[in-house]
Amino acid sequence: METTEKTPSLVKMFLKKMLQNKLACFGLLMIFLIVVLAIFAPLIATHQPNVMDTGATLLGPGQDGHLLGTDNYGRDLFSRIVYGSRISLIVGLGAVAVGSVIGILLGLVAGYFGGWLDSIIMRFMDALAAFPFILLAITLMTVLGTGLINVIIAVGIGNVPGFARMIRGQVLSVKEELFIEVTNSLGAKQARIIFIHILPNCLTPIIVYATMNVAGAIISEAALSFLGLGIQAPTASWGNILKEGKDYLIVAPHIAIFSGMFILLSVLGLNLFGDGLRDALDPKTRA
Amino acid sequence: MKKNLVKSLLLGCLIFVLAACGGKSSDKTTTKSSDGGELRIALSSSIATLDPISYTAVYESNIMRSIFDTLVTYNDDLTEIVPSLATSWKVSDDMKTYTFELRDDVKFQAGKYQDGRLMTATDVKYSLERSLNESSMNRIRNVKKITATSDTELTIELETPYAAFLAMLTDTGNAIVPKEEVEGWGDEFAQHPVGTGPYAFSKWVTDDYVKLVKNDDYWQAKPKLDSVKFTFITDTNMMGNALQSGDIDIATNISGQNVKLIKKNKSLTLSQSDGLSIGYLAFNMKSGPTKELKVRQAMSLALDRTELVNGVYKYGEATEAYLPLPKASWGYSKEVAQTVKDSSGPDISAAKALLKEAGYSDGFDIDLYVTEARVAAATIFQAQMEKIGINVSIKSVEWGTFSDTVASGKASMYIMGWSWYPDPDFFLYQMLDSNQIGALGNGGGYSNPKVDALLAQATSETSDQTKRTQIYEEALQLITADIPHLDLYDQDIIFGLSDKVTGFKPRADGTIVLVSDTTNVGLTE
Amino acid sequence: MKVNRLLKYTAKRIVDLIPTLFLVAVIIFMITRMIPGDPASTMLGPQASVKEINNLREQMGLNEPKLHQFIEYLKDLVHLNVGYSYVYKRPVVDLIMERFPNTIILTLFALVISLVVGVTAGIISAVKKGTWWDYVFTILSLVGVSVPVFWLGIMLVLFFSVELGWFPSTGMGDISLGFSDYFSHLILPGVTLATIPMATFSRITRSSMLEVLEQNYIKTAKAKGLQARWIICKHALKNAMTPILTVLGMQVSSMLGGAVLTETIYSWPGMGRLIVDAINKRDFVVVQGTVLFLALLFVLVNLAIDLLYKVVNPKISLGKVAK
Repeated sequence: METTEKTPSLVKMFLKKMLQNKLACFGLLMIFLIVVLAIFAPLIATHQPNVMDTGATLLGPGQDGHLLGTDNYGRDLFSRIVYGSRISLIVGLGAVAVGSVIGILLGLVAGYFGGWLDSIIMRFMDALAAFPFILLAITLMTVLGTGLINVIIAVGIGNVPGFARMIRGQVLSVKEELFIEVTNSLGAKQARIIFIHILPNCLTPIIVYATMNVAGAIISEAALSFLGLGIQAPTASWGNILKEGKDYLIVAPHIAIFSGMFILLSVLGLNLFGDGLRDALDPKTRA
Repeated sequence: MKKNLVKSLLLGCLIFVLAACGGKSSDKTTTKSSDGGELRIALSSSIATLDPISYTAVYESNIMRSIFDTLVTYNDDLTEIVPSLATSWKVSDDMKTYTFELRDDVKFQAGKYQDGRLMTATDVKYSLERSLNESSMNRIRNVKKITATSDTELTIELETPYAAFLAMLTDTGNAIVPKEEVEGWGDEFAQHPVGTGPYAFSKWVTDDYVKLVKNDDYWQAKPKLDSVKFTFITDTNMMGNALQSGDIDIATNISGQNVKLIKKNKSLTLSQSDGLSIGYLAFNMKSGPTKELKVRQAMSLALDRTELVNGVYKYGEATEAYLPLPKASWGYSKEVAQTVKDSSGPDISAAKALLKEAGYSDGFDIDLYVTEARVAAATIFQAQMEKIGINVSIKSVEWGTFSDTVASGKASMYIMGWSWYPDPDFFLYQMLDSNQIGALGNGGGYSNPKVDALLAQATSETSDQTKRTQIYEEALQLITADIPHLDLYDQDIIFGLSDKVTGFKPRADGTIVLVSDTTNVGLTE
Repeated sequence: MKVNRLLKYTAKRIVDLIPTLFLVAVIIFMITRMIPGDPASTMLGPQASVKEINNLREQMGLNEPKLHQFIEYLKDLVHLNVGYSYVYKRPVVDLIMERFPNTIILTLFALVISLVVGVTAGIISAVKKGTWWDYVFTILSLVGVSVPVFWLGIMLVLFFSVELGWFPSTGMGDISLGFSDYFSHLILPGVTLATIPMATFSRITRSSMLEVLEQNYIKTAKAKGLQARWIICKHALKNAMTPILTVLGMQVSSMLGGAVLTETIYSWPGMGRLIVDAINKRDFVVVQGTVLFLALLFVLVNLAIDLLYKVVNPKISLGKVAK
């Protein structure tokens, strides 16, 4: 944050750019809505998410006061989706936090010190990255067992190599810049150099990358839950709802359709926002 | 309806994809006469082997039933054991020697290492000894010696008297195989099986299908079909779709919405009958709150079976159960089941009172282990127990983890299914005898010396089915009073059949028998 | 001289792969041995006794100390032997070789769809920037990168198989029943798997083409003749090749992963299902072998793409990328 404070004009420019980008605003709005759903879930939900009503199962949208209908246990689908947003956000943020903290530390160490330490760490990262992501997550979940924390860990570990590689690359280029050499000659401690000087310089790409990865983590949670390896029943998570909906695809397609829609919209929101963020922070990149 | 609106919205979204790649639908219905044709059966899992001694899954045995024969077999409703390759048998008075007379007109299917020679008692001895010595599945045990006394006579001596011995011989794992083929192929016999059955192995495309062709020399009857194709469809919805679109003729393990869809479809038949699969919740009898009988009674009273069974099996794929024995087993006791039913709940206030007496007036927290497939039952059970203050936390784990946890007695509670031969020994002894503590069957650690004694008596004192039924009834009374299990449901055996299929008889163990003394499955136009 | 350098570089990169693959082997061995539950009890099912389970464990060599198992495993690997499946009773190589072609067909088919449709959409968007064509494609590709593969798969089945009955919902076609049977089975899984890369290709093509087109904005405007405009577009497309290649490399990994989910939904007999089945059956040897195989595939594809860079864009210095 240090860098932005020093340059208020840049902040202004950034905000202006973001606001001009309609798609990014739309993404931000979507993220905002999901966050509101998650935080105020108890106020927004019309029913208790886990209360069953075996007399009112698989109701269609709008029937009997159920906004989006009910699932196979007669639980209110809308309320479950509202509560499910919490899981998606927690996993999304948690997994990226785990992945980025470990990845950033490893990347900083590898990039700054170089030499054999760099070789070992990066070889290890290469090896992790060579696993297809979902397979790594599936295998880890089988080891760890289902549950929220474990999903965060498994998805988080999958995120580590990406962060480590990116940070290492950034550190290498920042290191070459003059001012570090100057600080070095003044005898500043290594840890200080890393955290005060190098890290803030890498912040921009980290933020963009992290935003995109939150989207990826939300999909991963849904995929794991869909395979029965994610969040424990009866906790409502979008992946769980979709998985249950899959068994009633023909008689009650709304379950799978709505839960999937919410995954899609939140991921879309994050991707749009991430795109806008990148464009605003670095006018050169466009992809 | 709203449903259609949603679907049309979907259409809009998907037009782009559609535009990107047009294509034609597949249309490949073949014309059939009353004899011949290819029967296409879908199994719900892919298979790993077709060697009888190493099969582990019912899907595998379903294919092998048509390739191989066993010495004896169960009749259609599994109430008695009838001749197959053996025409008759005698049991000695000490119940330790079985003498079998064999058919003299049975030929093996022609293979790479023999050209369809006659089967003799030596082959039976070879096959059973192979199962005894080489199989890790233990599908035949307690055997001291097997002797081929002539080409058509065989004696088997047992170590100890065992009344359920013949039941084991009905297992596909003890099917009769030709030595030349087994030894010629080595490990690859599993991919090139040869037996005496009505259909011979023809082709196996991994993870996709297995194809069998008619064995014209079959000893029992001339098989009606030209060929049988077993395809593997792991997703139940997909299986329902395939049946409706005519891609398959018989769908197995039908459940959920497919039941409704098949019933609605006029060209399909839903075949539903009592099965041998039971589902139950087992308590840890050795530690934790469930050690107390009063706690178990309280939970039994808090359980609303009707809600649970109707909730899990929305389309009536299972019925409420009160015994650790399926209704299709000959040992099932209606009287004991009624007693249990009468003393069952739901009665929340009585349950709460019992919990209070047991010293748990505030309830307690407890884990419930299940595998993926039983999360629905666990979810409803959890909601029901909440009403008496018991906080159930569901541990949905993968099968390997589940069996490990349960077998080592570490699960406080677990929901599991059990299915085996219709002989009660394979249910009661396996799940409730103290000798089975440490195995998955008795993962709750139930031990009652009186029950142990009765279960032993039922297999060692007599082979008379009526007398054995009485002994099992007595054991069931003791067991149900101890409540080691909450018996939840008996699953029905449900097949979806195309109307073209003729002569198909569903069996309680879910096996698919295409040709027997009472049936010969065919196809009509 | 140049060819020589390229060969040297290739050799160095291949040597570099060895420690990475070794680490993959180590990691996957450790992870599989940490999976709770053992193959013997999983194989034998509920009815097995402790004694039977132990016998089978002995047969499978699971009672050996872990270190010993690991050393045996490495020894086999050195001899390029990925092991013998105790569930299938067959060499793992055979299992892989039976399914690998199926996964490759599916992945390649999806790749072709995604490249053709994605790049075409990207070109149209770029050339017709600001028109409704551009907006439609941009929004579709944004949705495309965000859609969960497994959900899309279900929706496609719901609509095209259940509702319309156009395509079979499951399994692989039988080539002996003719090309149309084979192809119709391929469409839904292929489209499902293609969606994300398709959207990615479309976006990357659009943005990198625009870079050139905008630079040459005035020229484009002046170029009245169709041919001249076409030349500029061709130039722009060439500029887009490098980023498309980069994305291609990244997509291969995610497509192999996506194939796992797609194969599960469509009962497609490929590598993904083999691995998921093997994990469920605790067939560790198969898990190890297949994961290692996929990792090898992944690093080789990336190497190939790095080398392709040189062909497409000789300006990139070899030394820099090598680092």
